[in-house]
Amino acid sequence: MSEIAVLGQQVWRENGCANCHSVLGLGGHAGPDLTNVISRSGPEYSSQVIRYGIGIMPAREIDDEEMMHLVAWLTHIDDQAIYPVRSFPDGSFGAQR
Amino acid sequence: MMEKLSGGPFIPMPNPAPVYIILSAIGFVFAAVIGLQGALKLVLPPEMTSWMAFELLRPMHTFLAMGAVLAGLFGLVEAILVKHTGKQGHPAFLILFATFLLVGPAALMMGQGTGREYFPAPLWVSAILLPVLFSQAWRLMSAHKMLTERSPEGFWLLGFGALFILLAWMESHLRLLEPLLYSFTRDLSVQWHAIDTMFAGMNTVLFGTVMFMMSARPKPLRPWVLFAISGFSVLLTFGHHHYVSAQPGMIKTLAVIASMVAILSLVRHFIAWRKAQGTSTNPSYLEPVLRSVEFWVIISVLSGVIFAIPQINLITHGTYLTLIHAMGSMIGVNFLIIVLGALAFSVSPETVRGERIQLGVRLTNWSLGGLWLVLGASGLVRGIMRIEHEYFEFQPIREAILVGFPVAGLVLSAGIWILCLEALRAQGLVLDRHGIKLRQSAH
Repeated sequence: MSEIAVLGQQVWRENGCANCHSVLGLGGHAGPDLTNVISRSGPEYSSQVIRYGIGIMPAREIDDEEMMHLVAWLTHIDDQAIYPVRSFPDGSFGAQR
Repeated sequence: MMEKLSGGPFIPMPNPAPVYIILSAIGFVFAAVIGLQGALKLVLPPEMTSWMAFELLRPMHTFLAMGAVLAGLFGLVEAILVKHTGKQGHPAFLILFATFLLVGPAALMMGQGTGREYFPAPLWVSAILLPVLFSQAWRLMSAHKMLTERSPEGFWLLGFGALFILLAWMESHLRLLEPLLYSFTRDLSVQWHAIDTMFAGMNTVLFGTVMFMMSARPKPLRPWVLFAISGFSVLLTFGHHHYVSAQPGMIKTLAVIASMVAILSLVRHFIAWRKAQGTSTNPSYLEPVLRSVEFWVIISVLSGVIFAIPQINLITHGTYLTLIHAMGSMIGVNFLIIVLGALAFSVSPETVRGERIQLGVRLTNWSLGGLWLVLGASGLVRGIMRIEHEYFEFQPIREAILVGFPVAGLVLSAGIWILCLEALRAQGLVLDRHGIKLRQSAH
């Protein structure tokens, strides 16, 4: 994981994102899983949702630098796995890319 | 588990044991209140609940629930140690634990949480608990001779459980080391190993306390191979929490094997539950609590085994099905064993009201059943529909189902409050028009 992604992980934790959202199905289940949010919705749309909120999700006060870090971390996670999956890949468990 | 309770009808609980039990009851009541607010937050319109921050409610609920279980098991262990060794724990550790329980939520409210699922308190709060965990483990090991004479199996469960809790608490902080900081998968593996070991430790200690509440004849140690199997199972099931991550295949394979070994435990508990039907306890008001514990142990182990099957795990993982599995275990097993211990090690048994216990257990059972239905249905909708559909397509269905969540949560809270009140009365806490008094034990 790059240093910028590590900083993004810190932003994720400081803002308590895991209380409502999961990554690889681990975390809160009130909101959607965010494992592949970047490839599904793109970094721009994701940033807007984080900044202004949507539905029951409140707007977050995150500055541009923190947002860049957070998106870098979500991009790193997106590169790691596909989730959810219908079945495990042949020969092993897991959903690695 | 359902053998006759004996050792005299009641064993006076010494200080600081009742204080730990009181802290436990207070912790459970607050956890229930906060959990109920969290459930309301999920179903009420955002504008009605904007004053509640879910990112604060959830870690507070988790911290208080785990703190309450720890307080309860410390209280029961204290009572057992004093009864069999005559030595009380140093009050400094009680003060440290009370501080931990008090400053943890304060730290979370000040925004110092770790943002992690089950270990939300910051490092400085964790550090307060560490000496208490060391002290409990040390005192248990020092008393191994006397405790083994009374119940060989009981001592092994208490000792192993205390060690598991201590190790898990320390392991949970490995996240601060660089190899974990830069690897999300490694961090997940270690985090979930710590969580699994922690819960296993708490369950093991609580089952150990039940051994000491049971018949006066010593419970012999089972063959060592059974301990080896359960140790293998306890230490390696963690991988099933994230089959989908890129953790090594060997960990996943071992996790499946270890999780399926729990079938042995399930069979044993089922036989015990069948045998338990119709047996009586002394005093009789313990019967509904004991029966409930047996029932929820079976549900917990059964659901754990089913959810660990990889193809089923694809559906259940990351849904409220896993939440109700955890809640059923925390309330149906851990909380009820603490209530059982508080009643069995009572200071003032004459104040315990059997009909209230019956009511509290019924409310707890019915609400847990309701939560299994509501959260189970919501979990199935998410687990099945998320493959083909976007979150916002199936969320309205989940929201409709989750309306039952706060309703069941309210009934559960009522059950918890009633049982906690009886546990407090049993521990000599007198609440009347003259104020609050703590009746002292014989010690």
